[in-house]
Amino acid sequence: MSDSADKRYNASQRKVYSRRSKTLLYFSGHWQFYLMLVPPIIYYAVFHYKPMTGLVIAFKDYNMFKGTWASPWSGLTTFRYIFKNPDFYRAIKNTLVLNVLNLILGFPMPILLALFLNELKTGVIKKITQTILYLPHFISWVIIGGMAYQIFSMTTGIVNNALNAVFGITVPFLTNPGWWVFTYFIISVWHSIGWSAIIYMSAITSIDQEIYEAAKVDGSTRFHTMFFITLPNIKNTIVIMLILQVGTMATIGFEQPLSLQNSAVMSTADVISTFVYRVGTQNAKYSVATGVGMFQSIINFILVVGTNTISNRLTGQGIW
Amino acid sequence: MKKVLSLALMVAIVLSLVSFASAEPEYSVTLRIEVYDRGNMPAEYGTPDNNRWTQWIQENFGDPNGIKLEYVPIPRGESDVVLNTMMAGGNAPDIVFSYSETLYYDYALKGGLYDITDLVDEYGDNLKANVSMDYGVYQGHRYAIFARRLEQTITCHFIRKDWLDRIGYELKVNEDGFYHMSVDDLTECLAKFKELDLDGTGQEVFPIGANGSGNVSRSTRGIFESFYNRAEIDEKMRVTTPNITWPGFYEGLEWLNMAYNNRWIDPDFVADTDNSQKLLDYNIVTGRCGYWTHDAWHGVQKGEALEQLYLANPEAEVVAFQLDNVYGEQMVELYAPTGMVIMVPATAKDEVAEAAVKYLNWLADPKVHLVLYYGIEGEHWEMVDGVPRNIDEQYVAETKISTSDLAIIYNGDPNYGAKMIVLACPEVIQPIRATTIELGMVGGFERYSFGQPIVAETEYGTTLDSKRGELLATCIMCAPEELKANYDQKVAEYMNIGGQAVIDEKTQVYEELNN
Repeated sequence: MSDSADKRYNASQRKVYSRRSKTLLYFSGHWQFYLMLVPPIIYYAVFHYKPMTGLVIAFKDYNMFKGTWASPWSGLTTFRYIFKNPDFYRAIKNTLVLNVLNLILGFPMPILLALFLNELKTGVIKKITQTILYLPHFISWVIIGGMAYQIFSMTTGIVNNALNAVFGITVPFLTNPGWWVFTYFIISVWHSIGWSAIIYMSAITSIDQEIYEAAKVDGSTRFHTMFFITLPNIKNTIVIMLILQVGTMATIGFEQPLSLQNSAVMSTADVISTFVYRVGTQNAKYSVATGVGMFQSIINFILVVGTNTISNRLTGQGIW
Repeated sequence: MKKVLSLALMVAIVLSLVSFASAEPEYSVTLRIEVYDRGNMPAEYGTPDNNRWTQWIQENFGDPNGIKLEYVPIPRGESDVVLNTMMAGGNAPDIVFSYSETLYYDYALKGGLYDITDLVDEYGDNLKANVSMDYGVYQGHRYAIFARRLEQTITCHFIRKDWLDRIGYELKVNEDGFYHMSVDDLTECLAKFKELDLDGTGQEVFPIGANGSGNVSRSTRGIFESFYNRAEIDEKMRVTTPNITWPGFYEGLEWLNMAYNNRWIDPDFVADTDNSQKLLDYNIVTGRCGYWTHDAWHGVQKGEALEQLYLANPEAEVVAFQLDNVYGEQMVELYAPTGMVIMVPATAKDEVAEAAVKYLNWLADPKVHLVLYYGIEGEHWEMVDGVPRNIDEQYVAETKISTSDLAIIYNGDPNYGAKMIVLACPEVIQPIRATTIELGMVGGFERYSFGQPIVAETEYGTTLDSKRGELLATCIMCAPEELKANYDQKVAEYMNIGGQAVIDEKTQVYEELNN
């Protein structure tokens, strides 16, 4: 802010002004900040709020040649169509199972990784380890699907060959519905652990070093330091990440399930995104695709608000 | 000085504009045409929308008719999705096409297509002479031209004859002159294949080669066809009900389940959902399987599985054979004699639609197709024994990329027909390929065309295909004692998610058409 604007604003506080001129004065002093706010507001308006009007497609018998508004209203027909499809419930169940599994078992993984990486004191090894661990994040799911097929193959895959040599068993990792969930989870963790750890790593670096020194003086062991100093200090970050992850509970990526699933495991592998792709996009039934998307958003919204409230009550931490 | 210079420059610019304009012939209309972009053209060749062959079409069709041709490249891999978006946005090309009949019906139902009935009557002589006019008419109006498909065979059975010889099984020839075998004989042979590892791979042999492509249908269709009880399946049943409920289907499923539980099928087969893992080819080439049923054209081209097998193992001999139906009468599914659906969007102006039909009619001329299919006589091909043969394969491969994507009216070549499909294969494979084309037609029935959209099918089609795949995969892979319950449950699910709705609508339409 320029000096002159500052002076004008400070001067204004000494006098009694009408409410309107107060606001005007405030703006004349702070307009630069609001100017900076304009681009993000435009971005959200254009790319996030305007598209919401498209939700109306869910309540229309959408005809792509007539356009959204000229298409006839269809009331709740779309939702009746979705809710009477038994595969929709299966897709919700599968989505929740995979996401809950990912939340309970998958969520702590990057935190642990960050804690352990933090204990590596030599810079080079730490950097190399970190790079190797977050490399999988950049591999496309189509490639990973192919790799998974090769690695987990029942007859030629390295994992089953090893299991067969040591225990004399082979495991249908990709073709048995139960094992598929396990394989999916393992691949998820492998894919995201390094990348997700970055945010915790950066939170750790902002912890005041004096606390560590004090702990050392008091004779704290390494593990004590990790769990009683580092962990509580990144609690805020953890809580925010947790709320964000719970908020996506009803959403699931599309490429990962699609590139790993096959006809034999659909009973556990068919999730909401692949269901929408099949029923909505492939058949050009945009009303159905929109309806399911809307349903997901409502669930996610409820979950975010709910978790935030609970978190506020329990820990005093929340996003708002 | 400056003034003179700038004046000279201006004159030069104006002159260049004038001369540019006068070089262009007079065009009364611009026609925009979809073309697949397969991302396989080197820079020196050109682009899908501008290369030697698009220019050839412009010179030979566009210029004489005063039509300016503009090609609109669409990535092949997502062509239908992009087409949907363009149609919805009202900026689709004036000639569009898709292999999805469902998409066509969807457009026709929603009023998105131009009615070309009169235009085809007036300008479509070649089309009427060479392409089936039974397809593409909805409620008395023509909204599409269905390309002509020359090969209708879908499935064939293949077996290692050298393996049969070594186990002492004599493959007999039936009255039609084809090798044939009963299901019982096949079962016995497969058991021996499993036991003996005839190519000495030292690995576990899975005598039946298979993959999970086409929702597990491609590797299993041939088996079911040998179990259908044709006497009990009348036309109405065949046309209105899904094959998973036909008499004989369940017996086919039992056989496949038995085969899987005997480890005659690679346990990974279902995970190769789109043949991208090449599991079937791998097993064929390495001698880990001795029998497979699949697309009649699977692995027959240059460099594909069969040639690789022959190169790797000079003793190998593969033959196509007929797997006799257990009830005595063959019942084999065929493709309709149609290929992609070619449409003119409703957004096209009248004169553009007229140009579009003229263009399609020109493409339907077999002489034009000859050029786009084989190239220029003397440059790309010459007549040998009454058929065009490439002079220099390398030259043809380099100068004629994806020209069949421009020749959209025919799927294949109407001039010389099936002979050329066979000749396109490596020499050692040619006898097999020639057999498959005829053998795959024995006992064949074309897919029935209702001539109108089955609304339930456009709504549930892909869902039902996926569910059928689930049924096949889980029933083949489950324990034998679970088969019946699993089958019943999956059929119930199939009916529940739209299968019954499709049956009801098809029955109603079928009865209306036949009364």
